[in-house]
Amino acid sequence: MEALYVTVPVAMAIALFFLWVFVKAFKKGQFDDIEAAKYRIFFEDEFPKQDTKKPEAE
Amino acid sequence: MEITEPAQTVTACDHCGNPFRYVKIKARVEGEEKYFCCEGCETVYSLIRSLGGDKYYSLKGSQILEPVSLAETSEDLNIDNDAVYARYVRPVNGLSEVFVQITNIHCSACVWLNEKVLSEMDGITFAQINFASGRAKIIFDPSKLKLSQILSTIRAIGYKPQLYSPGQSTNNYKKNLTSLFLRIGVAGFAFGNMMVLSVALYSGYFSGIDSDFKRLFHFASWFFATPAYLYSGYPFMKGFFTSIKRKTLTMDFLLFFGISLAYFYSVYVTLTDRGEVYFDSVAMIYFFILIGKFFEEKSRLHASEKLEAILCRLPEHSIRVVNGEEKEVLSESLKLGDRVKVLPGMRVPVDGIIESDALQVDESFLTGESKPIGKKRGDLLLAGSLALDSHVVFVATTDYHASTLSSLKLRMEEALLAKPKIQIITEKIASYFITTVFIISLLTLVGWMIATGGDFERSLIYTISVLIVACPCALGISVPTALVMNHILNSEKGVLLKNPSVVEPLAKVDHIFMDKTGTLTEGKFLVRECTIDDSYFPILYRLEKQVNHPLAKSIIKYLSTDGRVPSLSKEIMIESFQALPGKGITGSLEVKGERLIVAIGNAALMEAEGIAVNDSIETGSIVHLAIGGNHLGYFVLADDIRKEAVGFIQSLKKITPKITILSGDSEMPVRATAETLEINSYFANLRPEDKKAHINQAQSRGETVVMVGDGINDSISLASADVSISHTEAEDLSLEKADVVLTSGNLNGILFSLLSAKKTRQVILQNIIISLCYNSIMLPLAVFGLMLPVICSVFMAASSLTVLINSLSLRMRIK
Repeated sequence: MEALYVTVPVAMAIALFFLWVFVKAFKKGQFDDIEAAKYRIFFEDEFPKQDTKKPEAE
Repeated sequence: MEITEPAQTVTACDHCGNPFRYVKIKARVEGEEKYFCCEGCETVYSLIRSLGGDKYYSLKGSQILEPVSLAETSEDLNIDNDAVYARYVRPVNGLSEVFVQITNIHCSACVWLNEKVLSEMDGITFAQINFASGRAKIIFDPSKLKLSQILSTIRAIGYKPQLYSPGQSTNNYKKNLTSLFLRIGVAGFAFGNMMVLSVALYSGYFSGIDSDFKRLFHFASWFFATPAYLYSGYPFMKGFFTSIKRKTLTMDFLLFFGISLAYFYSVYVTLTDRGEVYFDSVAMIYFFILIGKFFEEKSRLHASEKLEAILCRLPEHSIRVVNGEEKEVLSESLKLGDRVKVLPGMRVPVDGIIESDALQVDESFLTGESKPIGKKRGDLLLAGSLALDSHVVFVATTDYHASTLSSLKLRMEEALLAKPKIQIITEKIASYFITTVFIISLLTLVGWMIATGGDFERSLIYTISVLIVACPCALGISVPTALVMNHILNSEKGVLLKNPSVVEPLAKVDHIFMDKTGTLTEGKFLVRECTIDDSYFPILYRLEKQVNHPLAKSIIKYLSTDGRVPSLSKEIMIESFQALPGKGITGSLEVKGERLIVAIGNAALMEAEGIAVNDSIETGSIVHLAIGGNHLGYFVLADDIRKEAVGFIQSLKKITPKITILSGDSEMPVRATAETLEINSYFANLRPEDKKAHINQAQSRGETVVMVGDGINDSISLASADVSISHTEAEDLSLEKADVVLTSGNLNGILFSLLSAKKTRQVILQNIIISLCYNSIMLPLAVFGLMLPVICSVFMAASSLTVLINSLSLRMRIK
């Protein structure tokens, strides 16, 4: 059972990593519009446009 | 384009999906035959197809849209000036960024269409719409494109754009909301991870655990609990200190005090290695309470945004008249007593008394009343109303920031911050409770000091356990969890409870007052009867087309049934034309070389023209036609009763038999509605003050009153009722006044909110009793030093969980 002395801190580190990922994603605005994702997957252009207008990121 | 007899196979418009009523327009779009209910829908359909947009219809699915009305764009033309740009447009790396609220977005297809059309425009580099708020973020090149062009493009496809810039309070709510979300995330993270450790500790207590492992788990729990305690609990910590400063016991005080006790006692246990820890309770309680706070804050943000969207409609620039000289100034600089001129098609920036001649104004966004209102010299003009037919000069009666609209906003903001009454009651209970607990714990300390002969450490531990078992955490979450659950259930049914405190009066409702037009009825006028020969239709069409009045619009719609009418009417020349507010239209026309004097309007107009009409029929609004002094017939226009209204009233009667219609309409239509719906009590010809009087009268009899209505004509009565209910189809300030908003527009939402309120009240009372039971059983045990730490921790978790589960069971209880 001594393995616990290693696995518990490792688990804590992994948990912290995911907390960091969550905060990062939050700051990037992933949760700003949680409605959109499920609809936007249908939006992709089937016929790519000719011109090279590129949508600008935030 | 040609108009055909309705084909049997196609029953609904190919664009909007509404069933055909009068017209069916057949059009060839890319070689296919399609049918539409109006020209607007046809235009939009071909536009969408030209974008390669079958996608729109597959995304739209079976959703039914509002038929398109090709809106006027006069308002858009006034916006290309520096003040507007300064307020709404932000420069972003050489380009410009602007937010546009699109008010009638209802599905993903709408979003797709708007984004598609916008990003196709030359000069727009980025256009994205937020699904939840319907707000578009547009980045465009100001050298290629003007703001007005963007807005009119959106208008052209049948949507209603509105420039948007978030105000102070919205920004604050938004900031709160984002930080709350993060705090929930952190608390949930801590809670989830700690439960794993807690299970090990609980089972270790019963089956034995190596003390080294126990210490390891204690430290790990401490590690997870600390961010929850410090970060997630920060708002409560702030509340705790303000409560100390103000010397009042609030829920924040109680909660933070209890949690701090649990936390620091656990830290003490961890370091000294004796007893059990309560770290898991810290994270769990914060997690659930924060979720409640989040939803509360979200509904506040929603209300505040809606309000600001309305304020954004006030003009940036106004014309101030000084000594007969006109000068353009910023609206913000307008002061009481200024003389202001507003051109037709523009909005009035401040309240004022009219000095110029009579005019028609549209107060629809203040009042929800779609009919233009006639105003004359000396009348009060409200900020936000739209001057329709002529310019107006008025003397401002307020400063810009003190107009009816602005002060309404202030009052709204106050209301948004108000606490639910039942929450105040629990806080009161809790404050008595905590005082008692303090006294008991002091007595415990003193008692044990005497009993043990001065063993301070033992006495202190007993005292702390008294404080911990008495921690009213379960009491703290008993109200918010139930309210949140109720909120969620209601919003699933399309009912938005803007103010959580409405649960209390909703549960006790005695008397329900309903507005008629737009609430029990559709609020759209339709031609029911026509006695006019159709050879006069082109003349009618030509004249009615000149005015912007809902009755005129309904008549136009009716006349367009015959496709030849619009084209025939083009041959008619108008020589003179006059719109008479509250009466109708008169004009002289030239038809095939013949000169005709035409009067179209109500009985009052006919009387003024010296034409005798027989006005015995009173089932709706009547519009007469007279040419050259001869009465040639009339239209009867009436409003439809909502489809669900009959069933709704039937079920409502089971909840409370007292249902009353309050209407500003005339006797006949109100009686007809009341009879159809089997409502015995109704009042007609009411002014807004009369409606309020009826409500106050009922209240003075001790009844709890619910008012259902829309528009500012109802807003006084909405404000005086105990609960006010409005629906989102009314795109106006009554939404801000209402406690409950029917987002689905379906009346049955009211039934649901009434039933759920009753159940929620029950659950809240049960919760309070449960949590007090837990505390009062544990308290004597702790006082006499009989409490085992682990039982205490299990009870702490159990009391909060029971309360939580009880609140969650609301879903099962409301069927």
